[in-house]
Amino acid sequence: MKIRRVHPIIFFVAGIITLMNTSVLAEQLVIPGTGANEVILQELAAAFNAENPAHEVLVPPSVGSGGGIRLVGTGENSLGRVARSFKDDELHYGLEHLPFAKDMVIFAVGPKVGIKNLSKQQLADVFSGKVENWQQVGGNDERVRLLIREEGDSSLLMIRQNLESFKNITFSDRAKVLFHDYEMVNALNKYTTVIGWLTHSSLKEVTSSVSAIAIDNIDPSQENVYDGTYFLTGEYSLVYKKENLDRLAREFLDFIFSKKGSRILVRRGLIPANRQQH
Amino acid sequence: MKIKKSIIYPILGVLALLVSLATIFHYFAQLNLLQETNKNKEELRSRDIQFAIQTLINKETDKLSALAKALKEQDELVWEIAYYPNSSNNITYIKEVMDRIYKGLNVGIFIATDKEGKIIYQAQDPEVRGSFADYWGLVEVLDGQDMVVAESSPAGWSILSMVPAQRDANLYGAIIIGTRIDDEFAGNIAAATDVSVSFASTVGIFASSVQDGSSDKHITNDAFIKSLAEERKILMELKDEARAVFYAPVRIVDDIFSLIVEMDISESQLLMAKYQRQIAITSLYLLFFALLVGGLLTLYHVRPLKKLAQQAEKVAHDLSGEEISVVGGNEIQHLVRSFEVFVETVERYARGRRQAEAALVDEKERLAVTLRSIGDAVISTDNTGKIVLINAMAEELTGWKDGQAIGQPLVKVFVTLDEKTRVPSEDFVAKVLEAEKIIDKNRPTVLLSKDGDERMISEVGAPIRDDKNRVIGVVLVFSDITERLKVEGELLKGKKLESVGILAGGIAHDFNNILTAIMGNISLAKNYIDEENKAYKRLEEADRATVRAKDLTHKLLTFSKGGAPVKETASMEELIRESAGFILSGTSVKTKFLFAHDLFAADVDTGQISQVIQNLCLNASQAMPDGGLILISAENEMIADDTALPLAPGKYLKVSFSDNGIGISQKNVSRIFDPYFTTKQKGSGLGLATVYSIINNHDGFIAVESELEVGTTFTFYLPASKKLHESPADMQFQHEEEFKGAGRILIMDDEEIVREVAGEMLGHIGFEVDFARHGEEALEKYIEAKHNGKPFDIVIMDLTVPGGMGGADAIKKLLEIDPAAKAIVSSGYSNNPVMASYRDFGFSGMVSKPFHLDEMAKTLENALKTVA
Repeated sequence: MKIRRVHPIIFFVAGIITLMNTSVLAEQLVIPGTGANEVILQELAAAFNAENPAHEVLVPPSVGSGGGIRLVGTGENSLGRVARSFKDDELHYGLEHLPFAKDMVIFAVGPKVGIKNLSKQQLADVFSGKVENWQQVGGNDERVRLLIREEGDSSLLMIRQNLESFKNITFSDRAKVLFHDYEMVNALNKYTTVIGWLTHSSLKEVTSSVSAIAIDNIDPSQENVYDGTYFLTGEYSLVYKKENLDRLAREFLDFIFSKKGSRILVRRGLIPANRQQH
Repeated sequence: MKIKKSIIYPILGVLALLVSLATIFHYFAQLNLLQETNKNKEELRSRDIQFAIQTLINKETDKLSALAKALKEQDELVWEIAYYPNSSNNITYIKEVMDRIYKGLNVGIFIATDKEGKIIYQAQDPEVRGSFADYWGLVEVLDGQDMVVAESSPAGWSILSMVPAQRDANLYGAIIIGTRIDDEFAGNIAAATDVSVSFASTVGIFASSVQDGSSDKHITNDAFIKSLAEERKILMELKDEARAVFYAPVRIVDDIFSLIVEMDISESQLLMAKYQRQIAITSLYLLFFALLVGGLLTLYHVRPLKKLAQQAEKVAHDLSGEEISVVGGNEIQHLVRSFEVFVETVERYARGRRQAEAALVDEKERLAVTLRSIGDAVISTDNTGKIVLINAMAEELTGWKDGQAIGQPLVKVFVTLDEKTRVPSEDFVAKVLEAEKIIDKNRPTVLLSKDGDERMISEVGAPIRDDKNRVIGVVLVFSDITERLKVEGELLKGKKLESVGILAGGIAHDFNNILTAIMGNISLAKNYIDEENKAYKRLEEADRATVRAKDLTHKLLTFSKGGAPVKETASMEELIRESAGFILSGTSVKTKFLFAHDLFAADVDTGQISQVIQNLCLNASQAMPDGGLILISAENEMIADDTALPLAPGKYLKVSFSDNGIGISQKNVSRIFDPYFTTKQKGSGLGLATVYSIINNHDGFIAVESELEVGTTFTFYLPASKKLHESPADMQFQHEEEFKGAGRILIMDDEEIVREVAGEMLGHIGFEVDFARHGEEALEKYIEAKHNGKPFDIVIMDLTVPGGMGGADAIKKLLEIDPAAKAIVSSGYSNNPVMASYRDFGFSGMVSKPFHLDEMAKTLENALKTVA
């Protein structure tokens, strides 16, 4: 009789172990979306993964904010990264929008440009092709090379929103259109007489020859963002469907808003957002 | 059932519908699978194409880069570039060198610039000499870097590989080689991959293997934009055109362009169409096969339903005997209706059967109860004479109990003997079977029971017939007539006794007349002589003998009597003591009397009541064969109006006889007063019946209470007399006084000897006597005497006058003539009702024959004293 009684206990214990194993089975969270916050999210994911070796949060190369919204909207992924608000044709997905950090968009120039500051108008004149040589705006005698982003890019949108001179600008047809921040970073490194824009956090990856310029003598510094004088700022957000948020996604969100996550954001030159919801 | 209503059609219909749906589903599923497969194939193909094109471009880039690096080491070229500013812009030498090199390069662009970026010589287009090479990266090349760039120019996009032309630390210019990404480039790639290829930037298509401009439409396509923005491949099918197109990002050096590839999918579409047809045909085959199999299966399964319905109808028909006609509906509906009819019929049949069975059981039970309870014995046999049924009475009579007789041959159980010859009777069953009719054996037969008892029985046998009138057995009914025969015997005895009684009564009457003469003469003779006379003594002896003779006649009369009691007022105490003492003397039974001190007298026939007492005492003593005590008590009892006793209200004497004998069973108590009922082996069964009759004739009531082994109490009630009982002592006293008669007496008697003796006796007393022979003469003489002024004071009338008017009629007429007339009735029939109630008939006194002189004197004295 005693032996017989052992059997259910064995099964019970086996069941519990199975459940525990199930619960500790490796899960993967893929966060597709914009390249604007790609770098910072990759760093956050790496820190999270280091803390949670059982799980893996992946931040794949950019598919743009639109791609991220589409993939989360269709339920393919539970979290998406965006650097802009929803467009009208994206509202039907019914996604939640959770900003987690504020970033600056900065204008950066190649090492042979010889410019530290440009006025808003000068910037517009440079990008519209009016200024062809950096000498015209007080720089070196070097031909102006323009790096721009494709229409619809979140950083471009943000510039258009905040720089009056950019609102209706027609970019010079000599400008090289890039589709990703990393391309911008590469091009800024490759060409010495170029000017382009990118997110501050992306610049951190750029080697020393590229430098950010002040606009109307306002440096793109965290202090200036904090005090509101530097106006080219944008929010990085994550989008999700509430009902599709799994445990890992919640844990990752918790991590982003944790002290550790905030520290990483700050170190990267970002301003952590207060958690609004999730 | 009509075919068109068959269930097959709806089933086939549903089946067809289901199979059609399944077939359609199958068709589309297959089609979908096919399309999926096709799409996957196209997807794979497009991926391969994309990869192949990207590889071609990369190879081109690598080739250019390698060539440029090689050119950088060409001293001749570098020297010419370096020498050019010093040669007064003479391009002869550099042109010669570059053209020579260009021939072996197989590239589209081959340019040399000075260190300012001005084109020194452009191998394929000498006309642009001197213009500024405004290429991306040239600044960096002139700073000493090798650069590979994708460059857009009014002529289109190119892949350029640029290297500085320098020697030692001196930089003289740049060497640029490149490939134009133009229609030719696209055409080469298209030829290598067997598709049409176009390259596009955000501003539009800049190179295409298709020259009709048809690919321009793609740049307005959303898929194109998305592909570009999201850097992913999007595949689209253009079915109408039997082509598929995909948009994929392609990297040319640092820049990303959109690759638009159009593939011919007509072959796969043809294949698709072929498969589609095959699927459709397969589906149709499936549909046909499913319908065929379904139809056959339905037929196969429906046929038993029809059979089942027919069987149900047949059973219903067989059970009910009615014509069953179920019409309409398909097989299942038909079956359902048939079954409804079937169930209804079966229920009805079962109900009927249950009722019939119940009735049968009732009937059987009733028959069994009847058989058990009827007094007659019943045995039925089969036609081999074996007993199949025997009732309780038959078992009791034959002695075969508890069903032992069942299955036994009748001759073994029912053994009968001829009453007189005691020869075994012949087989009664065989006789009935042979005769095939009811046989009633009129003569009683002796039935010999199993334990040897013999009983007289009467028997009747009847054949039992089945519904086809065949004899299948015999029923034998017989009854125990032993008791009946005994009763009949007793009755016969009674009748004999009655005859003897009548004879005895007649004799007694005549004998009484004779005795009257003898006794009268003796009385007279005794009066005429002295007591000392020797003759006196002889007369005394003669007188005693006549008294004994009188007792004899009295016994004869008592034996023969049966009518109303001749009542006289009597003391019950005396009567009981006397009667009980007489009957119980010499027995071992003791008697205890308990009488009320003021006990009423009763008007009774002392002889009859004495008989009652004697019978009750006899019974009690017989109930106590080893001796015992009989307690006889008598008390007064007032019977009220509300009495439960069958008695008229009034005063009664209650007399009880209790013994402590064996008692009487409850079964027998109710029959104890029945004539001929007896529990004694030698009893006549008339004793208690007589007791009951006597008490009843005295307007009384008798009851019995008994308990087995405890004892029996008989209690009778008799009406108390309204008169006071005169003690015999008083009578004796009166008797002792000498009565001296005076007056005239008319004696009417048909016997002359009686007339003579009576006349002598009455004359002796002092009366003047006249005689009449019958009533008529008496009346004549009475009228005549009265008319002559010498009326008779009293008339003595004989009750019975053969051939003439008797006393009863004569007194009636006499009283009519003279209501004050007095008469005494005299008769030897002392049990005659007139004698018992002489006053009711108008007589003033009664004297039984034979009578002594003093008896007559006393009666006359009393009668004359009474007022008419």
